[in-house]
Amino acid sequence: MVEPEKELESLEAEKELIRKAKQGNLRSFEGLVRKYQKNIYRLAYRMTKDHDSADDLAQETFVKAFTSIKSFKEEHSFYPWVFRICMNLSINYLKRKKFTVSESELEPYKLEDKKVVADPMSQLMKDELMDKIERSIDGLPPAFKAVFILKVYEELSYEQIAKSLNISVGTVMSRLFRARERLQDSLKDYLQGGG
Amino acid sequence: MRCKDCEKFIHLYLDKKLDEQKRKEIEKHLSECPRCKEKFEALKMVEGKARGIEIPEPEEAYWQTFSQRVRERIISKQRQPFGIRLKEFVGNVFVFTPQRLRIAAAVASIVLVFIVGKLYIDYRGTIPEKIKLVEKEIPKAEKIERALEAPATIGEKPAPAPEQAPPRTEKKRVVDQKAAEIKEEATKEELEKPTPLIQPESKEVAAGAGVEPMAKKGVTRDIAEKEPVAGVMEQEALKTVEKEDVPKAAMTTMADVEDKKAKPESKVEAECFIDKMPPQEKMAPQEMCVYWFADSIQIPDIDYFGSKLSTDSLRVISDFWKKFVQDNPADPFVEYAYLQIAAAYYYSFDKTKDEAIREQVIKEIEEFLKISQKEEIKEELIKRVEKLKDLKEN
Repeated sequence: MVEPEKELESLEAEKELIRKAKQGNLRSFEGLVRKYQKNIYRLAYRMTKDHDSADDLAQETFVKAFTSIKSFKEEHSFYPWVFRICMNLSINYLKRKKFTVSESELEPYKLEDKKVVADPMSQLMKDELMDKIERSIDGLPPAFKAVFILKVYEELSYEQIAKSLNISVGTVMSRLFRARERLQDSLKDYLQGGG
Repeated sequence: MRCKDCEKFIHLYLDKKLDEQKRKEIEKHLSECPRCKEKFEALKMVEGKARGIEIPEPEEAYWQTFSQRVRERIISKQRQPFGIRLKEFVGNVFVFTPQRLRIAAAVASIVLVFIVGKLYIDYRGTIPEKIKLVEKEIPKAEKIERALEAPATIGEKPAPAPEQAPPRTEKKRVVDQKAAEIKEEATKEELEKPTPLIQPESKEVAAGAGVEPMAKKGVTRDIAEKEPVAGVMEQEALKTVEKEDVPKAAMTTMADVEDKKAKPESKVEAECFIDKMPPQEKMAPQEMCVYWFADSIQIPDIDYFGSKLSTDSLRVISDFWKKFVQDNPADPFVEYAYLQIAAAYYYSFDKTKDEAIREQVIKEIEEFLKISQKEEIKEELIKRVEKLKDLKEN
């Protein structure tokens, strides 16, 4: 099998794949999938914090991209378009999930997989803080979470976030401000301790 | 810069979105304010820590098969029935969060209120139209009612509206006077002629033409033709008497017999009499009373408006007048009441050939003849008794 990165080196090659995919060529679409599968999976994972959900959302993102590819305008980049599909699916998934509680969520918090280090107490405190931050981010409302993840992990500008989520720059700033405030609020016990 | 302003711009400072001047102001404030400095450090630390959160990478085998799984999923989706695809589409588009459900409920309530309101307004809108229709019909109904209440003008042209009538008392006097004169003449003519005990059976006769010589109808029609106001005055007179609670029977004879009009002591109620009649033979009290009273000096034609009275009706009529005689023995109208009784029994006998009834009425009338003071009534009663006796022989 040819490496997908090598296969899609140039933008022209990507456009050719898109053109063929628009004609219903599934093999060509697979080339696009291979190019962006990791980015999309990671984004889905950041949003869901669950491999199975991330896998399902990532696959569903590409399925949806293929079924809607005829509406895609070739003058635009493919990745932001797929990225946006993934974000929308993830937000919808989280909105639904908010009203259903899975078995894993009912389990008490465990620290079993922590690495054993030289200063176990200090490391334990640090890991605990990381876990707390992770859980706090996970506990943000989907709309706030999406903005925060795009800003922090994808390192997108306000304008790019606004375009990805189809919201205004002002809304992006507002949501980011509120997401940070909530995180600060939920972590205040750790932060006051000298974190 | 104050702490409040610093809090406002601290996020933009973190994201490096401030211009040079603002950035310097913030930096100055942060160096002076430990509290804001602490907050900024916390923000920075959290984002730094968050960036440090790694996600577990799936194994390479996962990535090798990922695109293949996507392809299989696409193929399986394409093979899915339209219904399932539509359901999934709807499921993705309509995510029913509690907030959305609340909004949907609010919208549904508003729509419902609007629909109900619209229906109510439409319904209310039809009421004035209905009222207009009813109002339109009221004059017609009143006209019909007036026509029915005008006994003297049955079959004649309708009387003018009451409001057009001249002052009541003077006209009434004129009408009554004229009626009395004509009545007197008619009675004389009638008494001179041999009494036609059985009237012609044609409808025309029944409707009034057959009783033309009789005082009341003759007078009324005469007046109605010569002086249209007279008909109105008759009606006015009737209304007046009604107000005075005078029996309707007496009302109808006012034009005929002046001394019998408006007797307060007479408690006969024509409505009761009519109520006792079988439904199929019911007619307006005035019609019935006019019929019997106007023709009281002769045996009237039973075939009235094409329908003959049944024996039950005749029995009711005779009972009615018997009660009248019993309740009002001193009433001058008793003389006429006996004529009614005689007529009713006559026809009753003609129909049933009931000898007991015939004997009874002959006996009663003969008893009354002894006390009767009016010669013309006496004569008429004698004729009727003879007729009853003739019926027996035949």
